[in-house]
Amino acid sequence: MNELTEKFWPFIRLLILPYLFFIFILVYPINYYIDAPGGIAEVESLITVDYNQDKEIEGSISSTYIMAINRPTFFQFMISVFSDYNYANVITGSYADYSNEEINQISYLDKATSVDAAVIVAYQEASKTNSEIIIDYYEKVMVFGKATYLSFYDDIAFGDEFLYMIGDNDEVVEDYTQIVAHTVLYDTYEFFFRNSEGNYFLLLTKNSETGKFGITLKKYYIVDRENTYPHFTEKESNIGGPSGGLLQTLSVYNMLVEEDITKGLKIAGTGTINYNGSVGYIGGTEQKIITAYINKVDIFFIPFLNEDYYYDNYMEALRACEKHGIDPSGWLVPVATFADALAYLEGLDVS
Amino acid sequence: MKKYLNLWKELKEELSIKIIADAFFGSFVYTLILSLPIFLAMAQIISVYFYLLTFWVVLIIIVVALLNYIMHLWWKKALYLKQPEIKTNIKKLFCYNQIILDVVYLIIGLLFIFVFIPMWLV
Repeated sequence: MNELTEKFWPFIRLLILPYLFFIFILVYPINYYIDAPGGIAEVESLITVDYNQDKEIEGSISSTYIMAINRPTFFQFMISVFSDYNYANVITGSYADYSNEEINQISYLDKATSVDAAVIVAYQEASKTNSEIIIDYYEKVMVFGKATYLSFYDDIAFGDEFLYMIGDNDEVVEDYTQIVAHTVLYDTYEFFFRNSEGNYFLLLTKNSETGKFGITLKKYYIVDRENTYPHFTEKESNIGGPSGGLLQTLSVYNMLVEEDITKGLKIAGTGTINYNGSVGYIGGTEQKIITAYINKVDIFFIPFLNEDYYYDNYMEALRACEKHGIDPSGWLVPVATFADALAYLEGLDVS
Repeated sequence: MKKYLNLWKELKEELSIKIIADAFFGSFVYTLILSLPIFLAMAQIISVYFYLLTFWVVLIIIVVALLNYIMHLWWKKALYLKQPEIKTNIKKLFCYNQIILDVVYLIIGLLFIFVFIPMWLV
């Protein structure tokens, strides 16, 4: 070791500062985000349903993911500008206050709840023609957002279940939409939550400036697996976010019905799924369109809810196609509901 | 294989395990220092240009092979600095060594392309 150090010392002395500078730009994060094209992931590898095991699915149904890099390093930011496919901007909104770990927690909460929504919608649709199929689910109100001024910020995690709170006149408030109406008299109230370790309670105080507790609660429907038939298995996922909802619904539905709705095609797309079967907007449309184009999909479903809205996903997708010289005809399919996507596939003639 | 093992035996007898290990340690540490920014940069390039993932994995295999070459070069240099007149054919010995390690790296890289990455991207 000493011999090498002695031999190379003039070079080491010369390179030590550039080396440290390079390390610095490789580790120092900046308050931006980058959206870059990602890939497509077959839903079958995430969710499997123990039904129709002999059925042969000729095509594939995949969700589309992008690389969403929050607080990239200087180096990531610099190299991202070399490609027209990437989009970089300053982090704004509530995400600016969250750490990267918290953004990941939200993303995986979104993913988990989106799978449940997909299963509910697909099972309900399939049960219309097959009485064997039973879906049961229950309500769960979970922590979805936290403001920086939330008291006991670190003790409450995203995804923790809200059970009830003690409101004015010691009234037990279970309905989270009634919290504001029942917290008029004082500043501090008892809130009861549940996480994987058990139940816990905290005294949350309203912020003096905003007059709010600083917690966002959201109602989800969770599948009751014991009372649902056929059983389904959901694998651990490394891809977060709710934007695969529509494609997850299509794939689960395809596992439940006898006919193969893929008709041998490579189907992909994007869009969240709501419990009533409607499709919701997603982010990173341009990068998803590029990802789909690179992966040569046959059909790409995209949310289309309002043509007058500039940021409507389908309108964004058309602009992205124009920008990158991609012909959208024949493969880019706008949909507003799960039923739209199903009707499109049923109406396809691939002979 | 016999030739390769004989060369190792010859080198051990000529120098001693302590000298060979010390030279290896030096070259390994310097290669590690060199590879740290390279791998950090490559990981970040992959995150931004993820759609070219297979290309990057192939490039990583090539970079690892190059680092392997550099490490052996420095190892050889360190040995000659410790003892300028070495009779054992180190060039041949390290060439065999590099080939063996490169094959291992290639297998690991291919496993990543065909097994681990598809499993991970669910």
